[in-house]
Formats: sequence, C-alpha cells, structure tokens
Amino acid sequence: MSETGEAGEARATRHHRESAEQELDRESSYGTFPLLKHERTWSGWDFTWVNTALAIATWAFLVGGSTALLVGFQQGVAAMIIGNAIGLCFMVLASVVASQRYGSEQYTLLRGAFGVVGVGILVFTVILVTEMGWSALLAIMAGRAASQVASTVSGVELDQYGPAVVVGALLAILLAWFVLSRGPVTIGKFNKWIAPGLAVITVVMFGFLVVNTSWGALLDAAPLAPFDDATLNFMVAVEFNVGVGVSWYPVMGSLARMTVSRKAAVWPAYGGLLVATLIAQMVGMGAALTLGDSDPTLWMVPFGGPVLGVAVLVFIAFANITSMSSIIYSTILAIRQSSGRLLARIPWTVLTASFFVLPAILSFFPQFMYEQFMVFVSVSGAFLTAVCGVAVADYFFLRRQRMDLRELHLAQHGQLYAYPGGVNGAGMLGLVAGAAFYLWLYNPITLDTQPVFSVITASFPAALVAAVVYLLATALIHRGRRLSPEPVPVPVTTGTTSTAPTQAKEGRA
Amino acid sequence: MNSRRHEFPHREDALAWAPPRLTATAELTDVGMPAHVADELERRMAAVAHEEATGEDSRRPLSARELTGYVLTTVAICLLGLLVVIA
Repeated sequence: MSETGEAGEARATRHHRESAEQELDRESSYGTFPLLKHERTWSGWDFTWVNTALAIATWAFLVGGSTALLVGFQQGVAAMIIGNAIGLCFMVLASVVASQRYGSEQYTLLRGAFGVVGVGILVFTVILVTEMGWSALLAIMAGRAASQVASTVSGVELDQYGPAVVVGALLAILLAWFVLSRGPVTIGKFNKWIAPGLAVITVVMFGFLVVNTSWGALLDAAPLAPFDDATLNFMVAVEFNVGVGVSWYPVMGSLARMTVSRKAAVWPAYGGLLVATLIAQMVGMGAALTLGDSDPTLWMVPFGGPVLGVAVLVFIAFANITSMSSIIYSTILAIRQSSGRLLARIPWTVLTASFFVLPAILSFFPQFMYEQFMVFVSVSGAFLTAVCGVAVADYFFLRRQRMDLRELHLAQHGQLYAYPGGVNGAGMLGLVAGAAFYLWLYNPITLDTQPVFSVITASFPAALVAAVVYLLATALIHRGRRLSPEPVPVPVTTGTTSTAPTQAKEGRA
Repeated sequence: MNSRRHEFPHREDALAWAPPRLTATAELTDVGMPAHVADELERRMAAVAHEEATGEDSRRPLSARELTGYVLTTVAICLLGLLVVIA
C-alpha cells in the first residue's frame, strides 16, 4: 500500500475511534449506561442542594397560595407537613432507592413492573404531559418575574398575564434549552450556587412579609375560597400537598443515580425536598392570606424596593430556568430510554428543543395555566401515585430489592422482564385500578368527593390499591414465573462477562 | 440481520422457557445498538454485578432497619403536623 493510502487508512481509523468515543461519552451522560462507582460523585450535601434548588422554585409559592384557598395559616402548615411527608415517603421509595442502588434511572428499572412497551406508554403519556405542564408553569412564572422587572425599570404598568409575560416565558424556555444543551454537569454547577441563594432569599421574603403585615394578621387570616365543610377543606389541602410530594417522581431516579450511597440518596431526597418545600410554601401561603396573591413576582418590588425587589426577581427567574432544565433532563432521558433506538440517533440539542414546543405553546395562555394549577397537580397526582404504588410493590415485595440489569436492558430479548407485546398486564391493571380509585374518591375537576375521603384522603389509598391489584394480578397472570435473578456468584475478576447472574448458563452460539 | 425470536406454543411458555441464548452484547447489537455501545453496556453491567456480589456498600439493598426508620420518621412528621392543628 502507498504511504498516502496508509495515512488515509490511519486517519479513517482515528476518526472512527474518536466518533465511537464521542458516542460512548454521549451514552454515558444522556443514555442508557448504568453509572459506575467512580462516576457517582454526589455526596449527601450535593444532593441536598440539588433538591433544595428544585424545591424552592416558584412553583412552591404557588402551591402555598393554592393551599390558602382552603385553610388558614396554622391548618395550612399542618396540611403541608402531613401531605408532603406522605407523598415524598412513597415517592422516594418508588424512585430513589432502586436508582441509587443500580446507578440507573427509574424507567429502565420499571420494565419489570410494566414491560418495556408499557414503560414507553407511561412515559409518552403520564410523564411527558406532567413534565411539560410543570415546565410551562415554570416558564410562565419566570415570564411574570421578567415582566415585573421590566415594569419596575421602565415605570410602565404591565398586565400580569399580558404579552410581556409571554415574551419572558419564551425567553426563559430558550435559556433553559441552552443550559440543558450543555449537559447535566452544567445543571449541577448552577444548582450549587442557586440553591443556597434561593434559601436565603426565601427567608428574606418571609421576613419582608411578616414585617410588612404582622404575625397576628397572618395567624388570623381566613382562607380565601373554602368549602362549607372544615374537615373537607383540611383533607383536600392535605391531598393537594400529597400530590405535590408525589409529583417529584419523574425526576428523582435520574438524579439519585448520581449519589454515592443509600444515605446520600434517601435522606437528602426526603429531607431536602420536605424542608425546602415547606419553607417556600409557607411564604406563598402567608402572602396569599395577607396580600391576596401568593406569587412573589407581584409583591416583592413594592415590599423590597426597586433595587432589592428587582434583584430578587431576576434571581427567581433564573432559578426557574435551572429547575426547568433539571426536570427536562430527566424526562428526556426517560423518553430516549423508552423509544428503543429510535431517538438515540437524534442529537441531544434537537431532542431537548423538541420537548419545549408544547410548553412554548402553553406559555401563550398564562392565565389558564395559573387557574388550572390545582387541577393539573391533582390529576397528574392520581396517575403518579398509582405508578408509585406499583413500583414499590414490584421492587420491595415482588423482586425483594433484586433486579437484573442485563435482563432489564435485554427486555423482550431476555427472560425475566419479557412480556407478551412488551406490556406487563399486571402493572397496567394496577395503574388503572389505582388511578380510578383515586378519581372515585376525589375528582379534582368536579371537586366531588366520597364521604370516606375526609378520613383517608385519596393518594395513599390509591397507591395501596395499585400495589395490591398489581401483586394479585401478578399472582394470577404470571403464576410459576421466576421473578428475581438467580443468586449472584462471587465473581473472580471485574469486567468479565462470566460474573453475571444469567450469563453463566449462556453460551455464544 | 435475522431476528433471534422463538415461537412458543403458549405465551407464558415464552416467559418460563429458557432457550439457548447469545450474550447480551449480541442480543443488543441485533436490535440496532452499535457494537461498541453494547460492549460498554455489558462491561458496566458486569461491573455493577461484581460490586453487588462482593457487597460493595453503595450497591446494597435498603435494610429492614433503614426502611423501618424511614417509615417511622414519616409517621413522626405526620404526628407533628397533627400537633400543629391541635395546638
């Protein structure tokens, strides 16, 4: 071969190797790979800050304001504590525990419960709609903050749902896409600075609120639009907050897989979200009860003055953008996983951009999104609690906390998690039963409730029903089927294929 | 490339019967995953299995004690919430 030919061949080989390495890097950051020990770098504190940054986004203020519709301050705080504690408890068990153990996001681990096609159905319906709704809300809140800043700087009064809000929301979406396109490391870096800042700002806002009104006024303030039945008011407030706790499900597994240990995953997920959410929600509720509006974008400038007010609003707008990036990162991972190889070839930037199309459209209807917030949280909660119920039953009771990663990735080509048509009927049955039971107990659209709702609420019993139906259906449909991997033999060396539980009996044909 | 699917007399048989299979890497490349990606995935799965088998702390399941502590903490927080209402 001539020298030129050899050089060309070497160049082609180098190019091939480089593109293969790039693809592996991409898969590692955005794709299917379970994370290895040295790649899991988040300590308990790191994960706490990530969760704090997520929880103190302005959605928490809105939740507090919505709670104030039903109950006063004292009962509202109680409803928030109880609701979030219950919702977060089974959300963390359903998503964080297994993801931390196997270094894999929760949607791959759900293949045992729903089947590979079943998870796809779930992701492209419940999860996608939920996360797009939250993203649109965050964008609109950022837009409202931007509109208020523009109004303060220019001295022109702007409509709180006007065109400036829409432009601000679209700009927020553009920035979120930019942050997201830089990958998870950039998101993590932003969160490290934003979370402590937000915590300080939230406390400052609470101080402003109390100073500008009074502690007595806060405690005496009546709920804004309650039902006639006081018990029902409290239970609906609890239920709403359970839904808020559960609404973290779609993102937590993808984040928890980055943590170094169980302790670094479970407690920061539970405690970080609980404490940060409660503080921000209390500010939102206090503002709604005393000022008539929970959104700090409306009262921060009059209370804090133009300089401090604008600085806080800019920070809040930016915090919303990073929150959006975090939740969309997890959702896109889920979509990629669930589409087989279909979306794996689409560049990350294009995939993330396409996710923002619907939130961008929804941003043109800011008033509608704000007014339907409570309905949105409760309806998505109905399905997410059922998913959590099935996931907990599957991981803790059926699989006894043992999954086989190889079989999970093989899915229909393996044995353990292969189902007719790729759908585990038992999981789907559990999901439908749980969601239907929830909507029977409490219909968030018509606000109809069953008498028993005032005693047991809806989310937790719905999760229980989903779990029990799933276990019973599994016993009936998959009688005699092996559910857990074979005992793992202690391997001799790392990285050899002979160490895996199912690999021992396999031979290359 | 030919599919390696098998025909089964009953659908549950497909799930219970263990046919002679290829390695995970070969199966994954069959469904369109690039070979080097499948190899890397296989290497990682083996590494995780190794860590799990050798009792690496971060790959251990949640113990009954940890689980009980976690649930009891939730119950305690709920009781605290009830106290706020009563107080």
